[in-house]
Amino acid sequence: MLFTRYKINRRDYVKYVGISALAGALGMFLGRFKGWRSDNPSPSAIETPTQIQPRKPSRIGESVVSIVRLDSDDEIERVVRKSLDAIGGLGKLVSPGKRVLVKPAVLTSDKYCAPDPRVVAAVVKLAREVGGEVTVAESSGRGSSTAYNLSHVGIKSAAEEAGAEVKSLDDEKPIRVEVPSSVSLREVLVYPTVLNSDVLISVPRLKRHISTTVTISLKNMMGTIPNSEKGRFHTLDLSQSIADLNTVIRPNLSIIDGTSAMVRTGPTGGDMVKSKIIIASEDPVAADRVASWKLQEIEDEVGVSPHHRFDAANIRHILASGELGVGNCNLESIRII
Amino acid sequence: MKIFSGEKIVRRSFIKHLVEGAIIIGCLNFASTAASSSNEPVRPPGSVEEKYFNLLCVRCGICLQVCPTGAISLSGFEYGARAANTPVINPLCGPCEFYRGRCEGEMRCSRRCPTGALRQIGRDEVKLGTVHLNKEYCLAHRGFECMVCAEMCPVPGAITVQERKPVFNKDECVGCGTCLYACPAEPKPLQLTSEGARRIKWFV
Repeated sequence: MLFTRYKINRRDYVKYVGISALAGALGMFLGRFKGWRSDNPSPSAIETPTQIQPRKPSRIGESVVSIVRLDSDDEIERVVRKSLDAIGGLGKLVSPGKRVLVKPAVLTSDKYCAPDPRVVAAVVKLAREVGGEVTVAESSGRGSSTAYNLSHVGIKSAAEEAGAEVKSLDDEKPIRVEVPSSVSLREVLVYPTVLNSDVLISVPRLKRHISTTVTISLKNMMGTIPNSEKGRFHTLDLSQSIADLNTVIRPNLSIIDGTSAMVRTGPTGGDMVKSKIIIASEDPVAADRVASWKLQEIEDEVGVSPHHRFDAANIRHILASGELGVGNCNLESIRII
Repeated sequence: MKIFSGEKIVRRSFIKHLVEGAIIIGCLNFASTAASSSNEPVRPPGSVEEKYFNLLCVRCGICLQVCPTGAISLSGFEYGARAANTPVINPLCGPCEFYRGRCEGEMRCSRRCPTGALRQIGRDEVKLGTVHLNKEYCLAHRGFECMVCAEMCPVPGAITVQERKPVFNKDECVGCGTCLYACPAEPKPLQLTSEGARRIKWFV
């Protein structure tokens, strides 16, 4: 039925073939113009890289890191306040009306992977006391939903109770930022909430990491960039990329949750140890240097097998950040309180 | 073209259409089975055995709609004409988070399946398949600092690290595809197959 009883003569056949050939030629001709193609946006649509000043440390001479022990879980808020007072208090950084961004490290929906919600809530509360407008924002690892992870580990409810706005960065449109040091990266996409914040507070957990040895406040900044960029970092030199990223978005304050630390392996699936410390510093490199040294001590106490041991003095992304001037990585110029 | 022109169907043309349809489907079936490998597709969690799955599944697409991660997609003719339009797990579109994550302990596809092609079973009984690693494309084996698969893997012990390189354990792997989705390498060094998949027996 389909292919019978439809008579076509030679004249019509030649006509149709000619018309289709002309249409094809026109399409190929139009396709030469780049403006017609969707995968090549017109020059006006490409954003110019935003030139932002790298956030240099406030005092290059000496960095102060405070380590405070906590005896029970009930006094987390008091201990966080004590550790912040030891390094000069939040009032020095946050003045009324400033936009404060608290960046917890939430990789997956595993609650041992994320910082304790009470630590995040305490930081939010203290920042609000000095008049800051606090946002808690994060972008989780590729393959897991940030909104789900934040509510599943309990940070969403705890932070909202303390009066912060909780945001998943995944829905935002990232901005292209030029990296001035450009050892490994020339430019990087960063979420606008992070760039528009006045004070950036990094709240990670004290953890081991299988590829960068430790993941504390410097590695935590990987959560301010979109998933495609996280993937790109791994195809470059990861440690150097983290250091480059931290020259652009340097956390003004790092509060490391060491209430329980993850040893042996990480960032998921490691063994949890009740280490009961809170580490705080304005210098993320110094904080990471001291925290990794503490983590090594904790591992020695627990007795991790020598196969999983690491050398705290020789962690590449901390050393690279120190070289780029993000902070002090030399223990001699770090004052520990 | 007279297909839709209100042609009067007599017995002769009815039989003719039937035979035409049978020949076309037969050809498609032959072509698809000849082209595809003998592998079974990777089905959503709690699926019955392959030979009954295609009978029980009515292709309603509810599992596709309720999946929170978009891991389920409809197959074409690549697994034969009998398996056309049935749900398969495509980890490139999303990970199946039945073990940990948005679907943990819920298994929305199995719960909402109207015909019992997907049954609700416990989290620990599910094994969708196995992930295989092609070391040639793996970033860690090429010397980069990459361990994203082991970072994101929800199952303890499925991916272990030896000398800064991932090692996949076939017995522990549940085949959720989280590692495949998270892998930053291009082309993907990981492949999800239905090897060792645990399927439910229909007559039990």
